Amino acid sequence: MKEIKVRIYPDLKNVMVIEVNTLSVKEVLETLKDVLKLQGQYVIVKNGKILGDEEYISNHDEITLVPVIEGG
Amino acid sequence: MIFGFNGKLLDVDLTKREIKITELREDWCKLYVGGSGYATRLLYDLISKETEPLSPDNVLIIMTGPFVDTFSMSPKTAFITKSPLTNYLGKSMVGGSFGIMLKRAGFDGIVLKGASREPVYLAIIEGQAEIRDASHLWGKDVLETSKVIKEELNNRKVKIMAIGPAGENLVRFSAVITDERRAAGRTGMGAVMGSKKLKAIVTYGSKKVQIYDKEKIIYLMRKHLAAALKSPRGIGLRSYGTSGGLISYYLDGNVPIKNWTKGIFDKVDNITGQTLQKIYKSRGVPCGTEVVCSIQCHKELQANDISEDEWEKCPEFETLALIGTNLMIDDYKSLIKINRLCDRLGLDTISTGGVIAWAMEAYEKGFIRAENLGFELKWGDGKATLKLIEMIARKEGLGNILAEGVKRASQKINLETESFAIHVKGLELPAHHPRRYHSMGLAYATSNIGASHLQGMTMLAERGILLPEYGISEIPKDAESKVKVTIIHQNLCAFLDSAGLCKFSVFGIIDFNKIAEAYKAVTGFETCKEDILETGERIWYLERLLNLKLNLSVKEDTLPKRFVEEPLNEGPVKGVTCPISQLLELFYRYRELDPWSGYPNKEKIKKLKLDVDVIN
Repeated sequence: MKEIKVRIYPDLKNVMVIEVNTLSVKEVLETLKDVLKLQGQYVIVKNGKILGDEEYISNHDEITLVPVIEGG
Repeated sequence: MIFGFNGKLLDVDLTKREIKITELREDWCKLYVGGSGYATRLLYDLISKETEPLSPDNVLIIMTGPFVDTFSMSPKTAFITKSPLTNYLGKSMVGGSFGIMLKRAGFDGIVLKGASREPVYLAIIEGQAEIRDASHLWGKDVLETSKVIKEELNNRKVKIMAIGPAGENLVRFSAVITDERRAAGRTGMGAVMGSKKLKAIVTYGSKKVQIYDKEKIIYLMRKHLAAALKSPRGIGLRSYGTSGGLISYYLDGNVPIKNWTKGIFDKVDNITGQTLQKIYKSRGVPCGTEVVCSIQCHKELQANDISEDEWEKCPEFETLALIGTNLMIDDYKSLIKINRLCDRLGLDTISTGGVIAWAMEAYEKGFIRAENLGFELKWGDGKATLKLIEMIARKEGLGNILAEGVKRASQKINLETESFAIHVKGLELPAHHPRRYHSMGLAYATSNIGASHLQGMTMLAERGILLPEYGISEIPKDAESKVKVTIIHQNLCAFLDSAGLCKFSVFGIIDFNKIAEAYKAVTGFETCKEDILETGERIWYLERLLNLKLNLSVKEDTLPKRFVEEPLNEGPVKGVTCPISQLLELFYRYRELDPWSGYPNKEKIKKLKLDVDVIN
């Protein structure tokens, strides 16, 4: 298992440590949505950049889950 | 009888103070649906290139579609006129309950001609219409106007659309505000109402129009409402409203910063919808009390430290972007106040943001000076922005020039400032970024009303909200597929604006096979998804032909040079420009438009059964 640090936007002070099986962005996203019971669409942001599904994060990385709203 | 409609229009001549009732044409309902399509067809015969938009000769049409008050999430009412901002087709769609109540009062639309000498308002109550004195309302803001009218009529259920001081003073980007907080913002509808000395329209009724297949509509409405609750797009909008889109769009490089010159605004977190709804208790409500909607994207905040109202309107994404990031204002309290001020004065927040961004850049570059203005106008200054907005609405000082819109203002102040006046055909740009989503650049350049994000929401396709029922199963990557997506989106948006459906309840939520079923169930007209596309296409060409009749030049199908020649040097779209020439060339080919005159060929006009006289 790998550990990552996760924030959920806009609560940037609260950091959760979550264990995941894989570091593939696509799979991490699915795991986090499942574990954190999040609905809707999210992206993983690291260092101010949206990570693509095909990318990987590193063990102990700090990431932020940002909700995606398609409107306006 | 035409199912889905009352079959009646109110024809109001404000000069003669005459009101007539005319019948809706069934053939036009079949060809142009209703709403914006039907109104544009009507307008086509009523105005010419000589018609001055702010003269009594201009005509303002307010029109509902067959889905209004018959189907879920369908409150959209069309405002159609000759725009005082662009001199071409003016169009603005507004939510809220006004259109629903107008239909219940017994009318599908209102055709406003001439101009009153004195301020008046129009009352349409239970099948009766009357022109009333509004001298006592002239000068009041939108909220005060609504309050006084409701007290006068002793009826709190009436629905009101009103202009504020900006519309009275003929600010070219003034809005009409319905239900006290929804704006028919774009292309200067407030000024057209103001030029007719029409302060407000009030309506109330209790009649329901007949539907062809009521059982089917109830079934489809349930499906539609449930789909909105389940889809990621519906969930997102329901959670945070459009304001929640700011952060992910920002991270994606899809917002304007400092009049479109920067790619990073590190204070964006201070003003996102999520932050506002974390600071203040929030709630979601439908855009109007009579609107059947499961998304309820209209967000309100309990911002009692800055607002007298128990529930204050949360700024929408476009406002947070055009007045927030674009002016680099990171003070959320100022943004909430600016948002409310624009509503009260009756101003379009998109154009207001675009105009003030230009003014701030002109100030920075020395074209506007503090000694002439009376105060400094620096990026990020919320207080100066509030002051300037008041000046625009009252046409005081520099506000008198800014009230003309960014195109005219730049020509008046100094021709060198035209290079950073960001508009298409005179209409200031919305927030979606042409450098990031090239198809949006094309949609802005070729929209029939100038730069509008709602006449082709192609950023959705570029962000993965596809239309497999129309063959769009992959994110468009190359120029050819981006052009094809733009054309399909333009046609579909033209249909939706004519039917009255809210676009937020369609793309990514319900497919067009279901919409075709619903259209048939409401109207009885045999319809499939291909018919919807073709009808939308017919309406798009009708709009185009109207603009050509009004003297549109193909040179105006373009983007500001800033997006084409000036890449950003930072942020997610660093180094990128929009290849508009390449996209336009393909667009003209696929649309079968002559690249020199901009006209469609005769075969196209015939094939689409467009019943208008075309002089080419």
